[in-house]
Amino acid sequence: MRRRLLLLACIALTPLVARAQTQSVIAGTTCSSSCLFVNADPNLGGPPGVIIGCSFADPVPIGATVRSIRIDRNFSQPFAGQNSPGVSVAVNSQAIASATINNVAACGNLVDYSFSSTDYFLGFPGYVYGGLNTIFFDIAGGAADAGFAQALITYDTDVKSVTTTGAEPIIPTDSGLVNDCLQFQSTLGVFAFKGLTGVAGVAATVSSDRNATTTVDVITQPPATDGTGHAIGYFQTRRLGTIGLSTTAASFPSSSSTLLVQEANFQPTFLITAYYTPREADYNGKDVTACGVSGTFKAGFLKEIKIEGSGIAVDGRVIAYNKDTACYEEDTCPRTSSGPCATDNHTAAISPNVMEFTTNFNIANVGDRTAEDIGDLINNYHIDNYVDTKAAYKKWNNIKAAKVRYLSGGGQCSN
Amino acid sequence: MFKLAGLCLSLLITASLIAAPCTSVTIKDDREVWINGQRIIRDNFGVNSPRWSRDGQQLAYVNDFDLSSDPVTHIVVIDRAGHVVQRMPVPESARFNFVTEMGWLNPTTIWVEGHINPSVSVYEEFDLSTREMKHETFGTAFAPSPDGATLAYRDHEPHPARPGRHPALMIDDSPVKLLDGVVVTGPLVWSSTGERLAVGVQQNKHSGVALVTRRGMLERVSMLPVEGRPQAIAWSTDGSLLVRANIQNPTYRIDRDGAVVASTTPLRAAALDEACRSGRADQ
Repeated sequence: MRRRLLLLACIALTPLVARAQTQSVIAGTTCSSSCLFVNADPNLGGPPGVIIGCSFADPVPIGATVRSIRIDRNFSQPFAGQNSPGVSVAVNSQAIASATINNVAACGNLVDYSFSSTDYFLGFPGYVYGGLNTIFFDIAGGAADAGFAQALITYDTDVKSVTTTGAEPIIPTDSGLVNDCLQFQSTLGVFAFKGLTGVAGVAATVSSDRNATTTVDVITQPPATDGTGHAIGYFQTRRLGTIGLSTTAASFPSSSSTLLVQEANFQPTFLITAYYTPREADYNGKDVTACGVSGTFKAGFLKEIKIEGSGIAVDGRVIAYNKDTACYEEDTCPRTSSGPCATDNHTAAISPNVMEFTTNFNIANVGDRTAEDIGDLINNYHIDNYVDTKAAYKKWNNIKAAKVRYLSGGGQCSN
Repeated sequence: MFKLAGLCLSLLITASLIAAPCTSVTIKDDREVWINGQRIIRDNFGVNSPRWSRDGQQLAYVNDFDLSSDPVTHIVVIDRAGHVVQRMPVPESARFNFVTEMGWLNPTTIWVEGHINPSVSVYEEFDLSTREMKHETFGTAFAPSPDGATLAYRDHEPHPARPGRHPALMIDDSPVKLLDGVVVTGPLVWSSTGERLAVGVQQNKHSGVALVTRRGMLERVSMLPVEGRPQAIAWSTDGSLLVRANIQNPTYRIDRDGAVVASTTPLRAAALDEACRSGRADQ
């Protein structure tokens, strides 16, 4: 009883392994003579070797994989006391097996010899699917009588596939900008399967349809697939778009897939701080006049403008400080380095090492922003987010490690 | 015989001091301080920019997670056991809500560089004994000398910086004349003696380092064979400089004679070693 339970447990624990179901089919050949004398014996005036070729039409269903071939043919040694011939059999250019013919008999008593290939899981090498295959009998060192031949083809109908799936691209840490273009990198997962079984050792080649004339995409080819039929390669580009990937591997039909390079997360996280434009309404104290602008302003407000660069007066005017003239001047809005007005929930200062002006991006848990400003303090993975009031600035929760996603604009390259 | 034994003993003592392991400080979750594998404090208002005092007995850091308090930002000093020695608010007059750099000038004074906008930061000194803030200076890349007596920085430029304007290198509020076309980008890093200042520069888009004396005299400018701006500079014990030349992180060594060679020495390790010897913590 206990033994039975143990057996049941063992069965339950045995992993299910998908095995290819094989079938066999017999193909007649053009070697149909019932008794063909082949003289490959120099002692009998023949050459040292004779090769006989015959062919058979591929009998397996479309899409099947020929795993092995067995060639059957009747042979005998026609003369007692003479050399025994050796027979080596190949199909197309793939050797199968060989034998020595040492039975002496007349034509009516030929003996069946079988020549069996090994089992090729990925398919018999060089087999011609849907066409004619040639069997070569290399008879040497003796004379032989050869009868008709047939081929036993063993095949399976498991579908073979090698495919590539590109993961969503990222912008890697060392991307930088080359000709104002960001670098995008995608991990390529290559999968080689036969039926439900991953195939190990498949060396796939992945290529991009955009590289036909000029190399714009760099592909690090995957190594041979592992025991699960999986391998990883890498795709790098500085050009956005939809890329057609084709995957090829010996013994596998080629496949196509697409990779979209458009939005992408920056691999490193960012520091997110904030800045604002001072407003005169936030300042108390005495009113004073200022060089370059009419009217009076709170003294503290003017001092703040000198530090910050610009501010909004109580009458709505935007006052900026010009260090060259050491005077104030009016502007139409708080200005960014790239020219546009700094706008709440829109403007951000970025490092020109990391992205270009006009880049649209999303800061996780903050929102979408546009790169419109720069400054010496904003270096590498640091974004300064513009807020429009001092109150918002004071309550800004600095984020030490924010995820940032490239959306559009800026560093995209069209060619 | 006794002289030889004494020499050996002194060598042994010296060796043990040199080989004394640097205190291992780890900041977890931006809220916890761990020293040598032991958590000494958890501060839910944040542990940011932690820096050891020079004698290694106190650790200063910044609280800036308590958005319900006004002001949000506080400077906290703890001892090695994790007891809070001081918690000092950064007043609104300091203008900043983010500390970009911090350090100890002396046992009772902490300096802070606070972020104001993309082009401007402010330098403030906080006296722990009087709880007063003093020495407000605007600019960027502030670097007090090791003895705290000299302050180097890039001059203040209102935001947004106008095209073609490049802030000057300042030492104690006096501009330092560099070569034409050489733009100060930072960082600014003093030698351990405080006699020389290494200044990250750019010329024709290339990364480089200028060497300046404490008195503001330019000694030389060494340009590196790559574009970009220096990301980090560290002094080696032999007086050479290690420079991470740009965002792609190629590292170069600039020998004492100014010769530039590509380096395989990990800059971070060298910088950490320096931080370790000077008693500064590093995240």
